Amino acid sequence: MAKEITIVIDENANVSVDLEGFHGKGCSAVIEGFAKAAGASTAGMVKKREFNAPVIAQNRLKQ
Amino acid sequence: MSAYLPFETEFNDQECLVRALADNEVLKYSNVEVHEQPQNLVGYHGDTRQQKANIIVRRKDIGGASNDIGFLKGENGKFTAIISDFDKGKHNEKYITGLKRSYAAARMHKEARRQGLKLKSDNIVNGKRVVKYLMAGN
Repeated sequence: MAKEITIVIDENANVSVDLEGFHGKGCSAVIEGFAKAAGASTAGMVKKREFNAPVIAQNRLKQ
Repeated sequence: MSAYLPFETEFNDQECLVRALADNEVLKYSNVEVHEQPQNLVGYHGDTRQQKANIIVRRKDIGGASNDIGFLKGENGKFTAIISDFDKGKHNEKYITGLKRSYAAARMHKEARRQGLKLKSDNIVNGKRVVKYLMAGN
């Protein structure tokens, strides 16, 4: 699955970041970079369920 | 003479602020001066004002009977916008919000470049700017 990052900047200049296809620490590293750039904290970030999905399970699905 | 009314912004990245000034959908200023040492602003009569700025949009690029507008870098790294009372009519809340949006997009794009991401699309959807990147190698 392609790893895609979607940035949404609303009418009031609020920024949100959504990641697709990322798992575990790879997700954290990417989002922390964007949060830092936006001057925001990742403390309140809600992780998608797939964040905690083991990579091995994903590989199995592809077979 | 129109008084300058400085106000501190959240902008702290000079490169992104210059880009945002050029990309702001409300008013675009692509001809911008950038100075390491702050320089004096000039009023609409051609008079040198006591206010100084590192990033300056000269009045000839603003048009009409405008004064220069500028952004002065503070010790905390944040830029203070220096806009005269007269020019607040043109550089109002809508302008500043547009500048914030453009600045946010420039800041995100800079971070995407740092992470080696590839731009996939950049669109306005229902008034929101939606930018998609792909991680290299996909």
